[in-house]
Amino acid sequence: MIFPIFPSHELGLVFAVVSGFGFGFVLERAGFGRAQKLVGQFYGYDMSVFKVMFTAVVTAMLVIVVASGVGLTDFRLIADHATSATFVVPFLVGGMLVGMGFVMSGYCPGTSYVAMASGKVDGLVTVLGTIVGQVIWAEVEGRPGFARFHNSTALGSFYLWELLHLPDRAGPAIVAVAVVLMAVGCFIGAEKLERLFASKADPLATAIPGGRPRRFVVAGLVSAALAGVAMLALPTGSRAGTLEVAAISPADLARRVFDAPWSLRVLDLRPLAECAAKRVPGSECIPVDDLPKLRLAEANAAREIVFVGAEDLALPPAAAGYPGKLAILKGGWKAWEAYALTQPAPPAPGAALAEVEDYRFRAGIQSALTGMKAAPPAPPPAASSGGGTKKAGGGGCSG
Amino acid sequence: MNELDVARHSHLIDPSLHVWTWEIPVYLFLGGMAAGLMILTAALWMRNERRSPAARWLAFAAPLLVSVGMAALFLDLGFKLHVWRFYLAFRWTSPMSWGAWILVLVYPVSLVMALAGLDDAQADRAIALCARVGLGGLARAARAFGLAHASALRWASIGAGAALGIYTGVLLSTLGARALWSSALLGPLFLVSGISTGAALLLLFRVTEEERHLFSVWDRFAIGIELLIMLLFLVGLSTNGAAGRAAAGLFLGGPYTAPFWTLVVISGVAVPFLLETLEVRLKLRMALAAPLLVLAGGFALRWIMVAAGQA
Repeated sequence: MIFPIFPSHELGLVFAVVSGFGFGFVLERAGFGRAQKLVGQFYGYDMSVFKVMFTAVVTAMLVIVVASGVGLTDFRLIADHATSATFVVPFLVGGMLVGMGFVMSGYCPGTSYVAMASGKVDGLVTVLGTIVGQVIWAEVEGRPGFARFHNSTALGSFYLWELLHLPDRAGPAIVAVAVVLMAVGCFIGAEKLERLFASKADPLATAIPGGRPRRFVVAGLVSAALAGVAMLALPTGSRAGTLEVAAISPADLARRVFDAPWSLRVLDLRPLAECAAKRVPGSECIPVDDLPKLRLAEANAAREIVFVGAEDLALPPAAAGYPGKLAILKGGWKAWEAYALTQPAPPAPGAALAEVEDYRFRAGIQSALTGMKAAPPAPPPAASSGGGTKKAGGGGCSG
Repeated sequence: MNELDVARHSHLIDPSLHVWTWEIPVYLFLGGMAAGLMILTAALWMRNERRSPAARWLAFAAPLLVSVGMAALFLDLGFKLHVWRFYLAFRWTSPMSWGAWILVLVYPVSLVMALAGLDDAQADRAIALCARVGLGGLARAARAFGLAHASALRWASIGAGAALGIYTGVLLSTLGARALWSSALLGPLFLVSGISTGAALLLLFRVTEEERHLFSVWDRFAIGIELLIMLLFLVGLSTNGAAGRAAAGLFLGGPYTAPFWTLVVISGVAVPFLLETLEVRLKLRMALAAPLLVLAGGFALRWIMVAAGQA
């Protein structure tokens, strides 16, 4: 899913382009396509880029935390899938490099595109430099020595509340509140800096109306309070009592796997070797002993979980706390194999439409999954070939 | 019946629907742009005898672009050595025959107009250049003929340009079995898109501020009409029975939704329109962003139409 409001991938892309143009336009109009304004951060005379970007970060963070607090989205899902895992040393080195490039060129990657679009040659050079850098990176990324460096100090998806050992449920809210407070502090500090260095200000820059820091304090505290209240007061994922387990047939599972794969999460509980050899498309191989590691009790309830065993299986205890729907594949892997991976018998001539439709679906799945096309059905038996009572010519022109 | 309908055992049973590859959209784009250039350079001449040197030279871009487009068309031919057969007959029921003859008409009209449109110093250089390949006399005669019949020539250029622009759309729309292309609006759509890409190409060069303003106005006018025709095109398809609805569905939620709306409607039409309007309203210096977006959008429109029509 590109954008959580639009379920359709296509519409998400359209929205992304519209918001991209809007973002670029606003950046350009705000003067962020000018290198002088951007390097102002480093000389301290104009902190507006810092304030704008930090405001954007805080706003996005609050929206995601509050929305996942009220159950509209799931920040853990977004964070785990959309953001990079944490690599401490490479991040520090990379951050320093980006900062150096930022000061030298006067642009960050996004604003260099803005500058290029408004016809600035240095913006174009920065964009080309970024592209060249990416190509070089792609070339050296896989070299043994380099790969060892950039995979070093890997912490996986690691969050601040884990670093600070905060409780799982309230941790994100507490961190969000802390970041908002930090932002407010930074804004006040940035404005102090601007006043201090005002004499060096870029004479071409448009004057910014001198905002009073009190506004930031009020806005920050209100948002922080909102996030805190939303996260702590609203019930999240505590519907453990209403556990329903449905049995799903291979045919229904196949339809959902092919038609709406985003609506379900298939967990294959067979031993790893078996699952690694053959499994339902899109399923995750989780040997039953590893199931507790998924912490299903805290997982997002949006997707229905379907368990696949070797044969019929009972609900594993580790799944008990899952707040969403649960299902078990009827007959397990054996039934799936029989349904989806073996060639179905073709319908008899004159079969009902539903039967032909069902055959088509199965044959389609089977050929999609195995790469084999169905053999043509046997020809219908020739009707009464031995009979000598051949009809005379049909009349008309046949003579 | 089972063989046909169910098992599809023979690869010859399912027809191969995707037969046009990159050559056709490239030709449609370049041909449309050349049509736009023929119309715009003639219209500019009608308005104003005093034109910038760049605007005068740019009239030669039309035959040049048509030539590149025709080279692409030639690559698409199945039997390349049979290309001369197009010119043995004129079949008025065949859009390809119309196209072949229109393309022949475009060359003399656009070349004579470009030669006649040059000022004297430029004309001397052009004729000297032609003289190197032994065509100096012909060029001089063509220029003299063009100057003598300037008014008729400009109208001929507009007419040939319009015919070429409409023809690029008609080429698709006569294939009625392809539901997406089966719309009479494709001709006008490709014509106005050609005019807007032609104006965008002119905006990329060093023309005077007054000409720039004029091209921008024409570009926005063409873009406005293009947007309207696209809307009517989609409305027409969606109210056109099951096949038409399925074709419109390609752009309204189907697999071509994102490319069509992002590359054509947003980046190629709406954003340049807004940018050019803002540049005029706020008296900003004209940037290259808007014309480049128009050109990319015009190319994307052809590419997506040709690809989606064969999906």
